[in-house]
Amino acid sequence: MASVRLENLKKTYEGGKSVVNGVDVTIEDKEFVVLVGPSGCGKSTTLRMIAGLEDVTEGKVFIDDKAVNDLPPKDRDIAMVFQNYALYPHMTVFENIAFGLRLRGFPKNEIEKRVREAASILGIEELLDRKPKALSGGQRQRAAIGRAIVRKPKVFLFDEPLSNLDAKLRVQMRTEISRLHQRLETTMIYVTHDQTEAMTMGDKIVVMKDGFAQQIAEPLDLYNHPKNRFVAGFIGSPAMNFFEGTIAGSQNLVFKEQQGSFQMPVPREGKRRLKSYVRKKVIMGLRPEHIHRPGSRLPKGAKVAATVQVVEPMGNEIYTYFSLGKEEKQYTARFDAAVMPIVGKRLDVLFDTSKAHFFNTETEAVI
Amino acid sequence: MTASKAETSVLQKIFSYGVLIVFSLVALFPIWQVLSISLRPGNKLLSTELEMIPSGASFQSFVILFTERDFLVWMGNSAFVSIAVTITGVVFASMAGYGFSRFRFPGKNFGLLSLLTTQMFPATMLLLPMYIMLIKLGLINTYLGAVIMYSATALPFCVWTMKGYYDTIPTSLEEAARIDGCSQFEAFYKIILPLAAPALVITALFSFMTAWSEYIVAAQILQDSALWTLPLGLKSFEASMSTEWGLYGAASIIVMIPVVILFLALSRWLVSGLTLGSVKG
Repeated sequence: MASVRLENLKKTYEGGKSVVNGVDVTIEDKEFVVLVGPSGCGKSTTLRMIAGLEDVTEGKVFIDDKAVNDLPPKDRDIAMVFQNYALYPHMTVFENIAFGLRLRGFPKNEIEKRVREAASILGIEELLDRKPKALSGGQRQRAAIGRAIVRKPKVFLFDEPLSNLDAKLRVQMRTEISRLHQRLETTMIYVTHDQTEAMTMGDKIVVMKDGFAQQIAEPLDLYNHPKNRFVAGFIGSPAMNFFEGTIAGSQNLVFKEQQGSFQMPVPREGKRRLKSYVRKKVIMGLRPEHIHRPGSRLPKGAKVAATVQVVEPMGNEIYTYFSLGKEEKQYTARFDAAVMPIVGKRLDVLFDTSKAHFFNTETEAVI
Repeated sequence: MTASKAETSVLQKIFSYGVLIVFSLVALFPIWQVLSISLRPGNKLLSTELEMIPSGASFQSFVILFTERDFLVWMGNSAFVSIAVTITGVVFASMAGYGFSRFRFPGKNFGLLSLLTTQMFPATMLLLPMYIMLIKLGLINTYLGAVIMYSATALPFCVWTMKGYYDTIPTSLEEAARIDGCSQFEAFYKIILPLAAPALVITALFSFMTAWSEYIVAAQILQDSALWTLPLGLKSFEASMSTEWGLYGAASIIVMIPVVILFLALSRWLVSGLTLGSVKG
């Protein structure tokens, strides 16, 4: 068990390419932290710097308040699960799991005991004599996790471990890793580009972009109070809708969409912050679940005329893609599955104005 | 439709087997000829008959080879030089290839290109400069001179082979090993080297064969008859007035045997795919 602290962590490759530009994160003992972001945001590089697989250009990595920048990976007391499993192909599952223990000189009976215990936790006891090539994707990933847990390290690192699995198995393994965290009560750092994994697994999420941590927060806090447009758009599926427009009015502020497709009152709690934006451009963000069918009872609803472009029935709900006026841009709404909207028809949707987020057009920070 | 498909498949098979049989015959005919010559009695050496086993066949040439000539000495010399070249090739190429595959360092591309460039020159062209170099080092008429010369010609190919193979092994395997408790070098010899067995086998075979049946370089360096390797010994059967074709044939067959055995013994390693299942796939 250990805490991990990253202080102004930077990574610049030869040729001056900066990948991580100063990340400050504190991961508490027993916490499950997810680093999430699009490809190239620096999340895997950050994880690899914690592991010691990449040199740190600037800044410090602390494990249990001890700077580990100059320690080789084997001396950091960490374990890592790789995206491509990285099982040793010439060894059986047993040998793979036992490899780290053997290197550390554990007695034979202790190795046997620990390997069996790890295999039993992961349900792979019958596979111990098999070579990796004789395993399915899910079994390989379990074996890789077994190799990590058997050493009982201070920190577990996961580098997109579920990316190579099919959708169903991914959901299953997601739950298993969460359960494993509850059982082992160890610090875990998990890298993914999948915001659903981040939201469902993490105690805390670090959203990264361009080598910076954009926001560090608990999943629901991140969802309800994004700090900027990037976080708002990245977290949530389908993604948040963004409308460009201006703030108008004096006492009762309204948001006017720039093409004139609609205008809506600014929620009361946002008025104070938006006062200085009158006659200025802003971006309004609204999540698909906050756009409702016509006729819905909403105390603060704004009626907007839309044209249905595409309909995706998901079973329990319908993703409805619509456009406003003559704009080509598409927006998304999540409707319940009661009535199927008709493609090409006009539909008066209701925007829940109380749920709107406003962002500065230049800095993209939340207002 | 199914019938016509089946017909095409049968025709394809006949054609494939036909081509394979023709090429096999072309490859096997000279070996059979040499075998046949080695078994002929002395008065039938220049016979043009195409008998599989010549009339009056005997192992006389083989007996003479081992009892009246220094064949065993030559064989020992060849084995010594070839094994030394093989060990040198495998040790240096496995490590150099790993360095070229995994690390970034100044001159990496230049080094790789230089190795490739040496392969563009025929070995005979390098003979004179190498010969002068070995004279200056006092290595003419020594096994070491021959080993250096053969290793220098075999290594560039071996390094490229090893580098190419290491490139196909995911770096995450070493990374996992380093996290498990290995140093960089331990990760190399405990994880990567066993996986590179097919490339090591090719490197070993190539190095061995570079020295085993080579004549021109050996003729320049190993001038003392006590140091002769097999090709030099075989050449001694050629005299100005006559050539002992029976002995020549018998010796050629025996020279061939170790290489064939080596190929058969190592053939299972030549089938790559050992990394299958280690990573996504």
